[in-house]
Amino acid sequence: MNKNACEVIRFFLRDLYFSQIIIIQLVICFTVCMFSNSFRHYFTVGTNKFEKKYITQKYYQLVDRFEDEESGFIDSENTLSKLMLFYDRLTSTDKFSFLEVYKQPVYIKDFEGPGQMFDGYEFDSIQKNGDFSFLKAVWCGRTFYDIYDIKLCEGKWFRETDFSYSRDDTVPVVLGYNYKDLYKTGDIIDSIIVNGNSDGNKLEVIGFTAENTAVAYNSEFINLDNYIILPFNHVRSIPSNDIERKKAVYNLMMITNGVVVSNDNAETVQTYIKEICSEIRIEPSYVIVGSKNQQAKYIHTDIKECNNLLRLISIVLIVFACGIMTIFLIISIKQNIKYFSILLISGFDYLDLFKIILGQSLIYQIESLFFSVCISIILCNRLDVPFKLSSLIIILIISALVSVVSSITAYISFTKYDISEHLRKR
Amino acid sequence: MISLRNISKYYGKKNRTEVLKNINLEISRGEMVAIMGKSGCGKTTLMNILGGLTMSTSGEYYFDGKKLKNNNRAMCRFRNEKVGIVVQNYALINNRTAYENIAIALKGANEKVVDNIIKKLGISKVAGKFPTEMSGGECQRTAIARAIINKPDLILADEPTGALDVKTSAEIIDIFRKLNNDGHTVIIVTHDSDVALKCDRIITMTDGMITE
Repeated sequence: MNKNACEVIRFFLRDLYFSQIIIIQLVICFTVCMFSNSFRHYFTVGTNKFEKKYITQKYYQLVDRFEDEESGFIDSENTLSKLMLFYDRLTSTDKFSFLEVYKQPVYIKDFEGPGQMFDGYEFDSIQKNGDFSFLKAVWCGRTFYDIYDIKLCEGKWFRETDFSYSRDDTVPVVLGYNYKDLYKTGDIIDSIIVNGNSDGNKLEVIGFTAENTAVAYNSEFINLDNYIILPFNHVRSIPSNDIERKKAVYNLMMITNGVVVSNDNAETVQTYIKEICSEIRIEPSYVIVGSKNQQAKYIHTDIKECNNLLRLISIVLIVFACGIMTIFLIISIKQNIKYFSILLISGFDYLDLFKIILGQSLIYQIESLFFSVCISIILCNRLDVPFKLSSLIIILIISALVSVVSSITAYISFTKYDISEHLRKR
Repeated sequence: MISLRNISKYYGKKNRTEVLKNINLEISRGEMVAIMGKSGCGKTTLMNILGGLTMSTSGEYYFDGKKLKNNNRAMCRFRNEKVGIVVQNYALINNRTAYENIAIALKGANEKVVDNIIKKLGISKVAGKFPTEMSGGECQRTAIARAIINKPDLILADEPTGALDVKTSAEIIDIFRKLNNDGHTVIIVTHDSDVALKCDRIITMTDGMITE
């Protein structure tokens, strides 16, 4: 093995226990930096991507945050009244327009159409339940037709009265263009609608959308050609029995996870939403996907503030990492100055010593990086934040910088020593 | 071989301490020279300059007719190529065996060279021992082996017998004499007159100047 490499390993093993403390500190620094970058990236991409698609207006996805406490929220007594109030405020505010649109598949009986109409087709995950097939469907509200400028090639759109129906009613549906080969206007289809309960409803085909009709939903376009379009069932009053109440809550949760149309930026719209939620006491607040000031899931502060804080912490930690690495190397050299002096009279030159110091630093970086990457990936998985490759690249650059800066500083401190004096010490 | 011209060395900028004052010295190839003087006369500083461990403040240092550049890198290269250094307290790495202490200085990976040196200096029995397990004489032989492994032109020894008893001191000086007979130029810094008398020439220093 190369002489310098041997000395790097021997030098590293000299202070093995103390060096592990340094490595732990570096692991913490790098993990926070990597997670911070993934976290920040996660909340900035969605909005930018979405905003670029529309020139005149911006379309934002509104989502609830009840997934971790769904059963608790739904079972609460005043949930339905809160959601009804929330829905009213969304549809009546003059600060933005609210589109009631939600993707929720339906079960259709005896379906014999092509695979691309099945929900999960693109992910190779088609579902069937006996005679019933789980097909792509979109639920819409009253304003959907006008705001999205929907065109029909046949039949008619929903009437006002179609947005309210009971369990035994036949629900009118508009089908996507590609369904024209399978059904015709007036056909009755057996279905199961999953909405807090599994209701068997009959569907009546009343029209077909024009070919390539598309709508914006959750940072993507949905081409409606392979979709079934159903009207939301608007809840006018609080039902008397628990089953109907639970269904009504699910319906409202679907309706309120819609699309906000506005010329304002995401953060402004998020502020409006937070105000409404705060007034009605809906906790946690609904979120505009991609807004930087949405409420963080586990800590009750704005994402934007979280990001700024994490960025600041990352910078401080990087400087700290540089500092501790440098101090450690300087102390290490000072404690081993005789050893280095001996190397200098044993055929090693100053460049060799710099390589040993740098090699020592690199061992720390590599060990720290390995553990910090593992921890970051686990942390990101745990908190549903996608781990960004850019985080790894950034931290590699930072790690190299820390290594070089600390090594150069430590080396410069070494050159100030009088090696002849240290050679003679016991 | 060695030519020092007007070599001076001082420390400090405001309150200058002049350690060497205009040293002029010529040493021929193959000589065995002793440098003597009282403590603080500058002999160790002179040795450091000769071995490239310290840079002079002014003056010129010629080795084999070539002027040496007065910077750390040049001095380091010179030291690694031409000089072997032995100090009073041996300067061995305590957590390495005698063999490893010698091999660390070896250029290339020829282990036979190390074995030959160990045999030549009579330390085969302690090759696998650590410095703390060896006597003073064995440690100094190990240090000498390390210094000569790459066959340097010049061997510098700073008080090589300072920590040794009379008998062992004599053995060590005999080793230097043998090395000198083999063609190495040897310079020994000492305050021991017995050691100095065994050299070809004695240079005496007083207050940073060569007096004899």
